[in-house]
Amino acid sequence: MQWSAVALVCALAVPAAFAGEAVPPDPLDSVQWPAMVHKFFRDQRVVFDDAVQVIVPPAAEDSMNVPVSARVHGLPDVQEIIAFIDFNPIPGVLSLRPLQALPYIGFRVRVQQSTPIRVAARTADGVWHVGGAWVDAAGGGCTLPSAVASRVRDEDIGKVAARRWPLADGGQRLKLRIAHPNDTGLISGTPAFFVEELHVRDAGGRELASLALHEPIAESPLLTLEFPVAGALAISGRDNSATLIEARVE
Amino acid sequence: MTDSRFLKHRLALGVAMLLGTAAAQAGVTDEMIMNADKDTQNVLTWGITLNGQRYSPLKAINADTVKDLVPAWAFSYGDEKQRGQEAQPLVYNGRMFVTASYSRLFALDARTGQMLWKYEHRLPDAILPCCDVINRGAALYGDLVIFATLDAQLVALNQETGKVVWKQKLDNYKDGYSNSAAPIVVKGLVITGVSGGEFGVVGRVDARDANTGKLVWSRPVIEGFPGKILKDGQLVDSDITGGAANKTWPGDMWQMGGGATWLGGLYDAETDSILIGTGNPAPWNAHTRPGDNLYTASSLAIDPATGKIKWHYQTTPNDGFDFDGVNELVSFDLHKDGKVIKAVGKADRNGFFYVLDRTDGKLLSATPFVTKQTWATGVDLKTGRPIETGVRPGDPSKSADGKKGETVFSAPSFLGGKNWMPMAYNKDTGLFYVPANEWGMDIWNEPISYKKGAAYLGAGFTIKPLYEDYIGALRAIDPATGKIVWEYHNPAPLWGGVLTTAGNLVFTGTPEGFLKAFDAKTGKELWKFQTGSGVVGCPVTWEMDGEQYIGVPSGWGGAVPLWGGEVAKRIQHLSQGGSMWVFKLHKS
Amino acid sequence: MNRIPLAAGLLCALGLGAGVALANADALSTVREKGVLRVAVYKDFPPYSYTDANGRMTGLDVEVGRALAERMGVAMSLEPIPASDESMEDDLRNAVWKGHYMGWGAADVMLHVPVNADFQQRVDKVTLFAPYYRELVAIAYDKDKIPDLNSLDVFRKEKVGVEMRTVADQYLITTESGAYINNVRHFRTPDAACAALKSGEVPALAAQRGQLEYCLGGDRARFVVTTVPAPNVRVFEWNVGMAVRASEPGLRDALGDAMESLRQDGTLQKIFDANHVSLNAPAH
Repeated sequence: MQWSAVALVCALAVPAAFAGEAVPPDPLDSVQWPAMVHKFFRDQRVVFDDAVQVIVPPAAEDSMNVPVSARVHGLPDVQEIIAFIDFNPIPGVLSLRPLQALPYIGFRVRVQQSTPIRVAARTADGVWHVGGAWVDAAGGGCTLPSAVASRVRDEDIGKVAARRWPLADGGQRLKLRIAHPNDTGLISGTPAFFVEELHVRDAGGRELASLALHEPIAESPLLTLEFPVAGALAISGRDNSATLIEARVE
Repeated sequence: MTDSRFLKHRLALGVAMLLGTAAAQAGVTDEMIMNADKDTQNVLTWGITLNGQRYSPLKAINADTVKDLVPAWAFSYGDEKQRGQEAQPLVYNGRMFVTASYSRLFALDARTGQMLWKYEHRLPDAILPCCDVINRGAALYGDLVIFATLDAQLVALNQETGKVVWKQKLDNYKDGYSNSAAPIVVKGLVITGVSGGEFGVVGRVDARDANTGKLVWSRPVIEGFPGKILKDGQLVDSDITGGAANKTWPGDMWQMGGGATWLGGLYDAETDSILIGTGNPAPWNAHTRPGDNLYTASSLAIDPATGKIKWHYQTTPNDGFDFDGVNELVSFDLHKDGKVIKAVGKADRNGFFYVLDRTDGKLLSATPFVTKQTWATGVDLKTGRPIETGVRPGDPSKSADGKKGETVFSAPSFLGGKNWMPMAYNKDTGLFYVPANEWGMDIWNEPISYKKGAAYLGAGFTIKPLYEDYIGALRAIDPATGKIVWEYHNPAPLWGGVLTTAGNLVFTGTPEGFLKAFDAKTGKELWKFQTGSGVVGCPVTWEMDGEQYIGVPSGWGGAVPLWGGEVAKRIQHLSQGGSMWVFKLHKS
Repeated sequence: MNRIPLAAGLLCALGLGAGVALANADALSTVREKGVLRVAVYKDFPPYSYTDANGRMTGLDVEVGRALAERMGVAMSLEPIPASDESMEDDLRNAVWKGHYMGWGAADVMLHVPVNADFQQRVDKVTLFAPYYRELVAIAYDKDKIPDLNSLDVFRKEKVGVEMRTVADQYLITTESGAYINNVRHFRTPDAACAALKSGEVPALAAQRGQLEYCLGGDRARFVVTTVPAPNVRVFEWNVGMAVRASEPGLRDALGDAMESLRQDGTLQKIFDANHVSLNAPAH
């Protein structure tokens, strides 16, 4: 009963133009899939592809902080990687342009209820390759305030803790955490306040990767990126209120 | 044939698009802001014009037609954040930009009231705004809309998208700094003051590059502090305010001197001066800081290029009444004895209406605009100093023995003969329209008082209305004579700004919820409309699609409801709100 | 498939239940039911309540609050509040009986509240009770620079530091018609004032005794702490206790009993000792 009501609302929310979009059937069998196609892909080509491997815990211990990692195997020339969550009030999570980075992203995210978490990689031919997995979660990850004890102190907002790890083939993994409340704006009285833009550069200033982040990213987001070559990195970015984020990872 | 027509069409489109882009990039220019008095389509700056006259040449809505004024649309700010709405909206290119309580900014379609975007600033829990969570308005420059926040930041957003383009810290909110005034833009510089409580805040005027927010100069208004100026890309010390420390302050008291510039400033193009008032000195007890305490409770003229103080005039030397001198300095041409004098008018918290020569700050006249002033009998026109009666609050440290001090009645009250709410000047009638309040206060030394868990030598006070039937008084003042030409009495204190037009009209709001229109020459009330909550914002007018519009925010709040005493009884029934109302003439 | 709506329904029912319980129960029952005592203390107020290097709230009052909660068999939840610029009446409104309009405050109890009959009359929305110690204004001075502080007239020549906007500041700049005003050095924080004393920038510092003791720690060889040599100055001493909403006698009694028990079994003394502050018995 409740589910059909949700489906009805979503169906209504999709404009008539949607009828013309080619929607491949969803292996994850989510009623939100057509709406996701409309929102993120429109008339672009979409294929479900096992090459995009998404790892999530089967059940989220903490729906405000669900670890997700995604790796694209063997697809040539990945231009952009996006992540979105079907049943979140704000579905878009992030968009990565892996300019000189490996097609890999690790992040932590808020989940409002049990839902597919999807990652899509766009190759140079314009085709979106979609992978995903269901995560089982208790309600309210996006719309409940975080525990008081975990709140970030004002003077720490935007501070970065980061570390580089060597990879076997000579590349490196970057893990970074940005101290930030990352408020979604969905809690009454708490405006949206979140990290929205990050850039990773090498020591010479060449941009290696660029990330656009959205509201569902977890408080004090933990992000993992991989690069084919080693060397010091510089991180820069800002939140939606133009608080600047700067860090060097030697 | 068909092909060439198609091509022409494409070409025309291309040109139009190019022009469109160019116009969008230029956005609001310095020239447009300087010539705002001729631009009836837009409302581009705080004060409506940089000189702060709040006068519009529009007259489709006039003393004859105002009876047909009806709502065009209303917009609710939503949320539970319904506190004082003191803003003056801005209108540009069919969009309205209005700030709201809790450091919010709304962009609305000026034709329909439909929300285009909103920005809610994240406020730290620990801010302690002194006087409600209000905001008074924004500034426009290029494609930016710029406003200050309660946690003392300056935020510039893209007018179209609401995305934050830059953000600058005005000061540290943890040190007591805040900001709620509307910035102004003068020659590409955003000019701001600072707000803050008594706790060690020092007043300052800052100029920042409007495109980037980078500081260009900074001028502390307390004697002894050096200014700062950008030189070859570096911020370096400039001249010391007042020349040197300790000329009018004892010991190191100047270092915590107060003088918050919490209402921001205005600008006079003819003398190329930023004109800004400064707040009361700190601490509140005048006995702790013998001397004039420059430049607190003063009016300043500042060079916008360098931040140098060109002249000053102090309205309340060694203030002990909380008569801060932040009130707006409105430039106007004074016609007197067949001459035209470059003058500036100011209705001060202390109850005097001052007319100064704005070329040098020399006092021309000072006349009462309230009915009772216990602290001074007048102002000496030769020296420019008040003739004090000696009626001053006692020294709280005299109560260190635990005895209550004697009660002194002082008028105006510390909320002032006029508080923040801006007056208007109408060049057609030659009159200023001043929203005044008639109240005094009982003040005494407390036998025992505490602050932060420790003993403190405090003063107690209670605000008392002077009259049974009214507190608020909208007064039309002739600056040539100081005479009050007409007045309107309002039961609750007046707390909103004034607008006057070439249509022989004066608009202002009341805490009882009305926006009212008066005949500018006679003061006759011609029209009123109930907005549902108290009106303490600033009305504006503009022209769109051949029709004249009037807009005003509604939402009761501000400093008045925070104070108890007998005034509370007159306002406790007023309900809160938060909305924007827009009116135009009904067409039958 | 039905699990989610069900869970939401359950949450709503729980929320509603809590609301009903709150409306009927007194604060003491609510504290016991939830197992949490919400304790308001000042932010940035060493040595009583302040943030340590790790970002945690600590200090004498924090420990007193924790001990009170333990004694009542509940956990403590801290509500650190900023001090009002104006007066303690604002703090009591924000911390105890109404809450601040920015959404914080309205705790079950506030600590470090002066307990005084005159003051109680002015703050009728709260009950002031259970004084746990007596605070006083004192002067710490450097023996090498000031041989004997038997009169404030020393400060006609010597400098004296104060934290701005404290009673020591107010008194020293106004007494004797401002005779000392040019020698009073103002500091924005107690820490800055303490550093100035230790570095020799000022030979003397006037502040609450607890603050001076905390400042000097074990370093008493060079410095003497003495009461202010001024007769009949009543504002220099006061009892420090706590406040609850006036409508909560049950909570007041439970907290009062807990405090008495902390005093009797020596817990209070231990807390003061650990913070290097003298436990002076409150006066009656």
